[in-house]
Amino acid sequence: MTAGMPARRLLPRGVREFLTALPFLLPSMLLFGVFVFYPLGKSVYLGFFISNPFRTRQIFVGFDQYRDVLTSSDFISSLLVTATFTLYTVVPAIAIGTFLAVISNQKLPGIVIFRTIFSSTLAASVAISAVLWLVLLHPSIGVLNDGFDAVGLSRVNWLEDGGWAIGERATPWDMFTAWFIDPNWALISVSLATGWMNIGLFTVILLAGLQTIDEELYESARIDGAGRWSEFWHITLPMLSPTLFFASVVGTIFAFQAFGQIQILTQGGPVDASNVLLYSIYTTGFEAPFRVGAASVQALGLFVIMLVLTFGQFRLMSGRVFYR
Amino acid sequence: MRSSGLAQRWLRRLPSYALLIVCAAILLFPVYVTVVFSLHPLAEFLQEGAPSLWPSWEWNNYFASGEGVSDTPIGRFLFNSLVMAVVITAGQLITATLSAYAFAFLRFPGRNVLFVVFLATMMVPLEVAIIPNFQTIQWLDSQFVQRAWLSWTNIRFIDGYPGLVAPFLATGFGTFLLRQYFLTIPRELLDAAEMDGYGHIRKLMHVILPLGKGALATLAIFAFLQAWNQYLWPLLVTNDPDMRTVQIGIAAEAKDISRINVAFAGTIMAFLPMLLLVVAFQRYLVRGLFGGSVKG
Repeated sequence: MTAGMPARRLLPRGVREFLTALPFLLPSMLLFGVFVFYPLGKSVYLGFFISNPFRTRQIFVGFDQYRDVLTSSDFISSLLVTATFTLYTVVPAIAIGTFLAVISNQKLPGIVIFRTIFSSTLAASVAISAVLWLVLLHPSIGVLNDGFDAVGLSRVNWLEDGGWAIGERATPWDMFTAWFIDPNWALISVSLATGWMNIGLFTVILLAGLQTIDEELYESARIDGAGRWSEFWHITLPMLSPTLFFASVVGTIFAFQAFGQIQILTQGGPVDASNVLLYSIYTTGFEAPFRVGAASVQALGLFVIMLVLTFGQFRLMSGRVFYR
Repeated sequence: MRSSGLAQRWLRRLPSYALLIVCAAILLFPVYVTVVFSLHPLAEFLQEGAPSLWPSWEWNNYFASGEGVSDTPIGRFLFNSLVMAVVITAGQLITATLSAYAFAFLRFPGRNVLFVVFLATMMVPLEVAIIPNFQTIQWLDSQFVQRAWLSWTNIRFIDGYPGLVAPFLATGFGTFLLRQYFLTIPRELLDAAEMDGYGHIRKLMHVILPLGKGALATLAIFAFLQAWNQYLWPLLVTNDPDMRTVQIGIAAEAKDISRINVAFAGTIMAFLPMLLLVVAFQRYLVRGLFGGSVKG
């Protein structure tokens, strides 16, 4: 220690300060280097190569693979499926979450119990949620179809009917109408399991949002004789709009990270009807013929999308932090 | 007079409660059915027609040996998940506390740039990096198998806890969350500690950590919940059924109709602890969702 003292004093102050901070930062920096930044560079590099199935030979193809993968019909179709999946899992879940948040924001004895129940689904993992919905949608033991029988609706082939996502359509108009009249039940099934989880999350987020609305706004509206409905439209919804936006960004990020529920319920099928981007990355890179390079290019595509989304989320988050 | 007013008030509340109860029942319907199914014997699922929506109280699915949870590796799966989640949570608390301390209280050149770099990691979710990360884990595993000076440790990255936890031990989110909180700690407290001759470690242990308990709890809940609920990464780095986490385990059992009763029991057992966690620590969770800005 005493021997080190003069040597330390010789170092410029900036260096000394940096050396003091380094031990605190090093564990995180090392982990980020190995598992965050290196993989990004490695992905770009892997994208330049195609390999044969036994990975004995790597052939350099440069940006050709980027062009081929990103313009392939498989990639476009998985983007389309992911976008539809996002729509299915975010919009209804936000509407339901808003409803549940509003009705459980009343001042009633025991309301905390209902708040807890409504937010409880956020504790479920994708695997748990998939199994919970399997009991409803399973081809042989699923109870939803029996319910449909009982009320005279026709049974639905939940997990095995790809609807509009399967088969050729003659014209774009056919494709457009098919979206409405020929539902992609496989995608709807995985969306139900996902949306159900989101409801809890959105209820929590929106309840927090509701609590930031000034009580006086409602009081003055009541003096003006506003009903509950007009209160909701003219006060709650506008005041909640930043929170709703935040929730939809979070939901979109989750939708692009969806994997487990698809792997458990539909394996991306039938054909590619529920093959979202991440599932496609998984099958491309981790199933024969192990097209690691192509999967890396898809992953970078996913990265760019996530970048835009997370940036949006971060702006919203820091907005809350700094402006409130 | 008073009691009739009370009755009237409750009568007015009745529609509200009815609506709340109906909504809760619809939302929890899948959970109810799964609980019922987890209490059916296997035969109920193999017969023609729908399984009953009323439990047949077959507790064997949970307890008895032979065909129940205890005879399948689900107990083992739960243990694996627990180890993984505890190690990840501990790791994140340690790395985030250290780095947040540096960013909040130390002055050094390049601090702001480095903080932005830390935040930038939040923009790279694991899903984007699974291929190179899997290759890294595979490489590490091969090193620990082949090199004599490493192999004696018996550490395995594929089919081992190190591989399950390694990519999740540090997060930009944790650093951000804790730094935000640390910045609200009055400087005078730290100055006083410094006057008493406290070094960085003692300041951290005796001043910062006791005050930052709430923020640490928030991070811990998030880390634990996320780790426990992982699916993709454990699927990639485990092949041995004995090393499966509970999420992978129940999914595998659910695909086999001859074990589906056990899969349902396992699902409830995997869900229940997280449900209790979320119910018990909801206010911390809300705080974390908004990056620590809401005082729950």
